[in-house]
Amino acid sequence: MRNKAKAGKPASTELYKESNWPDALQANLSESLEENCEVLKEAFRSCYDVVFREVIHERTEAILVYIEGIVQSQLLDNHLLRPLLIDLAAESQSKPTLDSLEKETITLSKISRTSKMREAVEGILSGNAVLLLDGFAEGFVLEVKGGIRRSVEEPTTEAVIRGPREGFNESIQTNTSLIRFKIKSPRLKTELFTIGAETQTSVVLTYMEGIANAKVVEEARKRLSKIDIDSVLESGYIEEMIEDQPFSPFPQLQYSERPDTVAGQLLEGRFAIFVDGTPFVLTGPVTFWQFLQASEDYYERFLISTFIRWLRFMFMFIALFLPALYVATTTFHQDMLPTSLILSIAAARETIPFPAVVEVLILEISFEALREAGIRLPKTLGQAVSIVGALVIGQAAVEAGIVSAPMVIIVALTGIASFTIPRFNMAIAIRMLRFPLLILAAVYGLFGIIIGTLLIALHLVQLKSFGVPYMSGIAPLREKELKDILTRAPWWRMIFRPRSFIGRNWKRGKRPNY
Amino acid sequence: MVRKMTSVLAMVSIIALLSGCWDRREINDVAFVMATAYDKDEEGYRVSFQFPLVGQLGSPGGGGGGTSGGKSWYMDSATGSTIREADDHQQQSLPRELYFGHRRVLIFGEELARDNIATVTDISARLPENRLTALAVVAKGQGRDILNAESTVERIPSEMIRELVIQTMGRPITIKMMIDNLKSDGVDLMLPAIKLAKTEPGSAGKAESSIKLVNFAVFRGDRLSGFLDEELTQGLLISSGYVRGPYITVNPPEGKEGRMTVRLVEIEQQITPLSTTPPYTYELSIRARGGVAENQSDFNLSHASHLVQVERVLNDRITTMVEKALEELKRLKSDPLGFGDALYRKHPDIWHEIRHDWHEDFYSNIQVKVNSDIHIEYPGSLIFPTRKGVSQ
Repeated sequence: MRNKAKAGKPASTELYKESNWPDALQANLSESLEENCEVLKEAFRSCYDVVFREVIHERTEAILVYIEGIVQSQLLDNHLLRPLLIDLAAESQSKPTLDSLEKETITLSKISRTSKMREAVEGILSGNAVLLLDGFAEGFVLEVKGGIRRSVEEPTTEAVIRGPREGFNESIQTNTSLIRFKIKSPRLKTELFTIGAETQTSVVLTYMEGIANAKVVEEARKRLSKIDIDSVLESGYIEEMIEDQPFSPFPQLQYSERPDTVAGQLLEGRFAIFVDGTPFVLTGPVTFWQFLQASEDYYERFLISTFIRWLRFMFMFIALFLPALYVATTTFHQDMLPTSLILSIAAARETIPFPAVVEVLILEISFEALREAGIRLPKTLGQAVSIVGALVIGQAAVEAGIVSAPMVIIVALTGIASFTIPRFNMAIAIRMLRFPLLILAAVYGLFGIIIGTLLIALHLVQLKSFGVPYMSGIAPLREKELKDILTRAPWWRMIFRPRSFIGRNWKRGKRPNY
Repeated sequence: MVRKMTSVLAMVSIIALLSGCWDRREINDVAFVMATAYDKDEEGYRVSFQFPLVGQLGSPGGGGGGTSGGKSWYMDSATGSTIREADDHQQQSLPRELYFGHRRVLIFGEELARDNIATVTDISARLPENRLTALAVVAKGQGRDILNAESTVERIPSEMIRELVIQTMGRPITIKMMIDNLKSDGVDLMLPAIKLAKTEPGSAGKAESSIKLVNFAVFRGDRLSGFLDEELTQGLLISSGYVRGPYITVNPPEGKEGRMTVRLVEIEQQITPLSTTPPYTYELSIRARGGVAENQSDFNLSHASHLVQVERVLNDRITTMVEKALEELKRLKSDPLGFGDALYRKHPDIWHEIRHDWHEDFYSNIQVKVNSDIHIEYPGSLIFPTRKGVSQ
C-alpha cells in the first residue's frame, strides 16, 4: 500500500535536491581559481569552521578547502601540504599537471577527481578536503575523513555473560569493518546509499551474495532508494520508512548493537542496514521467533540454551496474559480458582476500594512509569527511583489499602517476565498488547481474552517482513526450522540455514568426523 | 487500512452484542458459601448458609489478623417452599451475593433425610454454579446446628467437616455420586453422619462445641432408614471398600494376654451372586493388606507362621463385623452395598422381574458368605514386644 503511494513520485529526491541548490553550485568548475574560490566562499558564508588554505609557490597556485574537526588534518599536513610545498618546490622544474600530482606527488591513498562544483561541495561537507588548482577545471577530492568518534566499546543494550565484548559505534566505517573482521568472504556485499536531503547520511545495505535471497535484497534496495526524507539521524528513521506494516505493534526489523548478532543474521541469509551516526544496525527480514533468541543462545551449551529459550516462551505468555487472566478469573470465573486461593485473594482485597481492573491498571501504569523514569534519569538518580518504586508501590500502597498484595505480585511477575524477552522492541510490543487484553478481560472475562488472543494470532500470521511470513517456521510450518525455534539444536545438527529466507546454498557444514 | 480497521471494529461490536455477560462481580461483593444445611420446616425448607468473613481471615497488611473474639465465619438461615426461594429470602438480608461456586459441603438434616432427600439434590445438578464435587453428609438432628459449631482447628467449620469425611473415607461421597446412586436401583445410598460434640479439655480448659463424624446413615431409596453405630459402621465401610486405612483391634491368638491393633490398607471388595433362585446367596470377599500397628500382648510376631495366626484371628473378626453389619442392613431394608446391583449385573433378566419387590421380599432373606482374606505384610519395625519377660 505504502510502496504504491511512493511510486507515484518518481525520483523526487533528485528534484528536491536540485531545486534547493543555487545555480552557481550546479555548474561545472571553472578554470579560474579565483572564480571557484568565490563560489565556494559564498556557499560557505558564515561558516567559521570551513578552512580555505592557500597553497602558493612559483609554479602552482592552489586552494585547499575543508571543514575543521571532521578531517584528519595530520593526513593533510603530511601527505598533501608537505609534498606540495616542499617536495614540489624542490624537485620539479615544469608546471605540474593533474595527472602528475595524482600519480607522483600526493601521497594519500584515496583521492578522486571532479569537475563539478556540487561534488566538491558535497565532498567538503562529508569530511573530505578539496584541492582546486589554478588553470584546471577539475579538482581533487581527498579522502581524509576523520574527527572524533567513540571507540569500540561493550554494547550496553545487549549484555551477555559469554560472547564478544565489542559493540558498534557511531561510525559507519568502523561498523562495517567490524563485520568484515568476522566474515572474511568476498560474498559479503556492501552497497552505499546516501539518504536524507540535508543530512546526506550514508546508509549501507549489506548481505551475503548467494546466501541471501536475491528477491529480498532487491526489495530492500528498492525500498531504500525510494526513501524521501530530509534527515536520517538514527536507524529508526530508516526502519519506519521501509517496514511492511507501520501500524503493527510488532517490530518488522530487528536492531542490534552487536557485530556477532549481525554477522549471524547475515549468514542466515538476512540483510543488514548500517546507518551512519548510530550504533544500531537493522537486520531483516525477521521472524517472530528470533526476537526470543539471544546471541548468547548460540555460545552457551545447547541444552541450557534450549531450557532458557523455553523459559522465555513461558514468560512471554506470562508477560502478555497474567494481569488479564487475574482480572478475568477473579471477577468473572471465581469458581476456577482453588477455594483457599480465592479466600486469600478475597481477604487481601477486602479493604480495596477499586474494582480489580482499576487496581491492575493503577499498578501497571505506575510500573511502566517507573521503568520509563529509570531509563531517562541520569544513572546516579536511578537508584532513587527503584527505592521509591519498591517502597511506595510495593509496601506503602498495600498497607494504605490502595492496592492488594496479590496484585503487586501479579504486576511484579508480569514486569519481570517482560524483561526476559531479549529484544527490547518485542518486549515493548508485548507490554503494549497487555493493556487491550486487560480491558477485554475486564469486560468479557476469559471470553474476551480468547477473542484478543485470536486477533493477535490473526495479525501475526498475516504479517510479513519483506515477503517472509512473520511466523515462519511455525506458520507456514517448516519442520526443519523448528530445531532452532522450539529448541536450540547443537551446531552440528543445524547444517542447513533457515530456508524461509534463501533459495540456494543452504548447507552450512557438517559435524567433524573424529 | 481503513477497511481493516472497520472490520476489526465491527468484530468487536459484534462481540459486545453476542456476549451479554456483563456479570462481572468483584470478589468483595461475593459471599463464598462454603457449606449449606437443609432442614425441614413448616414452610418447606430451612436452608442454612455458612461463609467465611474474609476480612477476619487475616489479610496481609490490612486488618492485621482480625480482631480477637470475632468469628471468622458467618452463619444464617432462611426458609422457603423451595431451596431457591429460601436462597432468595436469605439474599434479602445479605449485602453480598451468595455464591455457590466454592461450596464444598452439603448437610442434610435428619428429619429432611427421613422424609425425602432426592428433591433437595435437584438444584445441585440443575445450576452449573453448584459444584458436583461437594461432599454430602447427614446430620444427626438439625443440620442448622452443625453449622453453629466452633472449629478452632480449621478456619471454617465446613472445612472441618470436609476433612473429617475425607479422612474416614478414602473416596468420599460427592453430590455427583449421590445423585448417580439415587437414580440407579439395586444399590442404596449411604452417607457419613455427623453430630455435634463437645471438646474434652479437662478441668482446666473450657469445653467447646465441636463436630464429630461417627456413624453412617443408610437409605432406602431416597429416605433415611437408620444410622449404624460405630462398630456396624466399621463393618459397613470395610465391606463397601470405601474406608481408608481402618484400625482393627483384636485379641491375640493362642489366648494370650493383652490386645493388638492392625492397620489395613488397600482393601478390595467383591460381591458375587451365587444362586439364580430365591433365597439369593452371595459371596462377599474382602481382601486387604495390613501391618501391625500396636502389640500390647505378649504374642511374639517374629516368625512368619505367627503372622499367619494373626491373619486368621483378623479374618474371623472382620467376618463377624461384616456379618453383624449385614444383619442390621437387612433389618433396615437398606442395600448400600449393592447386592441388587450385583444380581442385575450378572442376571439382568431375573433382576427385571423382581426389582420392585427386592427390598420387601428378597433383600431381607439373602444369604451372604463373607470371605475375608487379610494379608499381614509387616509386623512393624519392632519385632519383639516391649513387655518384659517375653521369651524370644
